[in-house]
Amino acid sequence: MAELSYISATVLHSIASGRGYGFQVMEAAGLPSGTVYPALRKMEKAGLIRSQWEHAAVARAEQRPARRYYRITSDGEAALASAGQKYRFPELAPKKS
Amino acid sequence: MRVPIESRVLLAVASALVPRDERADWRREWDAEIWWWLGSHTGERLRLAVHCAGALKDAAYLRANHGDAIATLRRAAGSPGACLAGLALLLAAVVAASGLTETRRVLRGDPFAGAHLAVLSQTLPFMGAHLGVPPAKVADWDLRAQSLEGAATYSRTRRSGVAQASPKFFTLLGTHAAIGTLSVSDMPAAVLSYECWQRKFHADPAVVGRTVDSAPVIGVLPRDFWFLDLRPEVWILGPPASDAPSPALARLKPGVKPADAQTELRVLAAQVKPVSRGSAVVVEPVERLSARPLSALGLPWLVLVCCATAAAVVRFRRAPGFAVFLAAKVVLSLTLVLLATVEFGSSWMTINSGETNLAAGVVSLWLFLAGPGAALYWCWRDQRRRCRTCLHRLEMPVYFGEGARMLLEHAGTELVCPQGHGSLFTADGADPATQWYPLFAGK
Repeated sequence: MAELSYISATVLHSIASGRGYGFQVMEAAGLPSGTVYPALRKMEKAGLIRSQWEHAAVARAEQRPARRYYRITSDGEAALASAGQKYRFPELAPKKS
Repeated sequence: MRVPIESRVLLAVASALVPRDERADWRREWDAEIWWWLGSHTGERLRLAVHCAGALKDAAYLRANHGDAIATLRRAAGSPGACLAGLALLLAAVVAASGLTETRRVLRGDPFAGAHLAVLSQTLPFMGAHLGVPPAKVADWDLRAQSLEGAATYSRTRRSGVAQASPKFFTLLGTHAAIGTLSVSDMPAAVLSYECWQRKFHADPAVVGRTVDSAPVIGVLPRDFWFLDLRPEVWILGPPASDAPSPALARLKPGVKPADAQTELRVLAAQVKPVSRGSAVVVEPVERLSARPLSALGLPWLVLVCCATAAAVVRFRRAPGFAVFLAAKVVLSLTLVLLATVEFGSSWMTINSGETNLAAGVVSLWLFLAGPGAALYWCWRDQRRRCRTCLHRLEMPVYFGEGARMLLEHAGTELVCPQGHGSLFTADGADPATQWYPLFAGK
């Protein structure tokens, strides 16, 4: 199983807590964009999260660009549980949207 | 919503970095994220630019991890072996570029040992700088000085690779020609260095009599000839081209001490115009000048290496591997500075030999003074950014807090070991403390 650094674990914890896209993770964890996005790429490559583009029709109906959503996988959940025994995760900021 | 120009430029630059097959999705994601950002922040142009600067890091990550070969290379670049190999490569480059010519000469010793040769110069009180001597005075000493067998001027010329010397310069040195002769019958005459003869004349034995720099070649110097910091390809032997002061070479009569010769020359110098007020003639044995590089550079190098190694061992006595790595970096980088200075600089020669062209010497001296400082600073800075367990460079710097709010909160940078051994917290502000937290100490 992949061992997570504290930052990666925090990002994964944010996603598991319902933050679906990069900007929400940044807002929740208080991390800069230059940290969050590389962490998302790394974890997606490791199979801990999976990304999916929102349906264009939904975004069009709401007159906004489509988002790329991230979702935690079963491997990610196991890694997060393991990391939870080692770290104390920060309190996440409330969702804005 | 309109994205400010600076943020658009940052995104465009970052986009160019992203591998082509991932670029369209990457740009689509960032455009969407910025749309959301603009919706929740208004009038914060600078913060948006900072946010977009993160795209550069994201793009760099994708570029570095595109394909296994590049990812492996990137991981390997941060390893301790790569660091030491890089330093060793730089050392090899210096050795290859220089051929260690100067180092070999220094180690071989002075070719004029015991020859009673001295360099004559003038020094100004309080400044200590060595200046040249007017050619008229040197000619006078050559004729009248009882303590000297003879004196001759020598100097660089404005033409690169060409030096000027009095006709009896090589006679005073006692040098014998490899080809031809070094005794001048008609002035001016040209004498070639062995390297120049080999390279430009393809070791042609019929070079004597050909014209070089408007003077007929009379001979070629022996292969192992060297004289202080002068390394010209061509020596032009003849009367001085101008009245400009230049250093001089003298051969002392057997049994005459340099101090005695100095006293006599000072008396004679006052009788010949131009009289330089406040300056004093200095007689320094060539042997002493030739021996200086070892004491001037070798000794400080040894002291620095010993001190830095001892400091590394004491500071990191609980982590022997960490200390050994630091010591190895110090030894390699200081050796690199030493070799580069000896091979490419001439401070020790220029400053001490009475050479009038001090520009090169001052630059070289600063190179040697600044070099070890920069090398040690780099070694220490690099060491602080390495994992205490595996010695890999730490990655993913994360900035916590804000410098302006340090009264109530802490601020600093956290780095993480890519191998998962721990994290390093470096505090901002006046407190330079760093703390290492092993991540899996309990495992």
